[in-house]
Amino acid sequence: MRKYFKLWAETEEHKAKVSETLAFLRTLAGKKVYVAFSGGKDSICVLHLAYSVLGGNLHVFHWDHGLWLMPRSVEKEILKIMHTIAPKAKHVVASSSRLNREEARWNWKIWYNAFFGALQRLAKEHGWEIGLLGLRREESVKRRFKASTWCIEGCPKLCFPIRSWGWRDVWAYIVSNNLPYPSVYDKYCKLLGWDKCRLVTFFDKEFEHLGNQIDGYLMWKNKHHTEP
Amino acid sequence: MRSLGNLKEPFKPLKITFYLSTPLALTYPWIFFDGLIAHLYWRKHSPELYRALPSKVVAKKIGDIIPDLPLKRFGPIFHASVSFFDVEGKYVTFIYKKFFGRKLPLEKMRRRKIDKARGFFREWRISLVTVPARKVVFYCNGRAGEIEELLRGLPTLGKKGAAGFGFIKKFSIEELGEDCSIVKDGVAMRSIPLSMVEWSSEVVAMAYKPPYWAKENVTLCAPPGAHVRLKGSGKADEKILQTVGGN
Repeated sequence: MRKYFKLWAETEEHKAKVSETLAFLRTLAGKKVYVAFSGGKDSICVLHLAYSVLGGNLHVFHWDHGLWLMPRSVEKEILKIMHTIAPKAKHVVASSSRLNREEARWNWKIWYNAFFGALQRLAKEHGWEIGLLGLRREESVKRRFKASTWCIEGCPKLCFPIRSWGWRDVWAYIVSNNLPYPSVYDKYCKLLGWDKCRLVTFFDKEFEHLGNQIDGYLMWKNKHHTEP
Repeated sequence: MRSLGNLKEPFKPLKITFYLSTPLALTYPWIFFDGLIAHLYWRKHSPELYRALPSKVVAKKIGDIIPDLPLKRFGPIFHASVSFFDVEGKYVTFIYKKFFGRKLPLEKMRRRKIDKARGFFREWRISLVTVPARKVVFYCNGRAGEIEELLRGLPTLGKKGAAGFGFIKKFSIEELGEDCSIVKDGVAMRSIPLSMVEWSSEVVAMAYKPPYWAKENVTLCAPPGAHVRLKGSGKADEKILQTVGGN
């Protein structure tokens, strides 16, 4: 697949999308920008692109979902990737102790309250004006019709710089720039395919109806945790 | 005079082979043989209790009762291995669960529509790992006659049997010379609680007794496939320790 993605990276279509994104990011120079970095393939592209334009002025916001939703080995890898791609950016890692309970797997209100509460607080603290999110139109029908910017009450305006990218563009950018990505992708892509594979929280009841039962097979070691 | 009917068959090391005609669907890498036998046992002996109670109650009430399974016990675990498949490959398949309400008299209903995004009629996309196994092998130590009787009532193995997965063509039970149900050549054949193990190459939190889905039964265990040394099993297998770097 690497060969295929390398060839895709040489297409005019891909190059045009990259230069379009870079042009947009250059317009943000001088503003307080943060990248919402989940550790997934789209976030990796956004972080790399934004860091190449904004450099050390960039802030990277990462949310730790806790032990039950994000295995510690994956989380460790994500943090390492964040530091490798944007070493001089300001890293902000937030979490909530309430997420370190099994309840976090099925009671997603805990996550929503903790996440948006922390985002509002941190945005005020760091003076963030604009957030960059790796959301793509291709991902779902709902996202296809989403506007180019998105505002949540009390949070900075969100922009989607890779909104028009396809899955091939994302992987082509990662492969051609030799960017690190979480190893769980190799595990999941082998079974699901490189087009359908996404990194989200594991064993999350919120996404159960979308088919995350495969987590039980591939991530069986992280299915249960004993109390410390 | 003692009745011959009360005499129970002795426990013997057994190898149970299932021959399948359709691929097996799984949501966990293994099927636990004692879990399978316990399910069949409860279904046969107290179906009303097993089926009517909420699953959480079943886990707490039934899980604590040690049933008279036709399997030998070794501390808190049974002499029963996990499943072994004849193939390595695996695939993913999706099952779509949709409510077909096109012919419903919606105009007569108060809300005039059915919400398929949430609630009882929610649409589901269930992902399942399928293993195209033709042969599934289990090892156990138990009473062959009783096990055979229970297994006769089992039409499928694994998940989504009603959707045609894991259909059992036939099964065979053969006696073995040695017991391979817990450890074979220093390798765990099932989940073994750490309290029973002197040394293990790997430690994972997982269930060790049926029902395997109940979190009440989860503890730190040596998982199937780990190199282990059971407590009181004598001297260590030096060769194994060297290969896995243990001490």
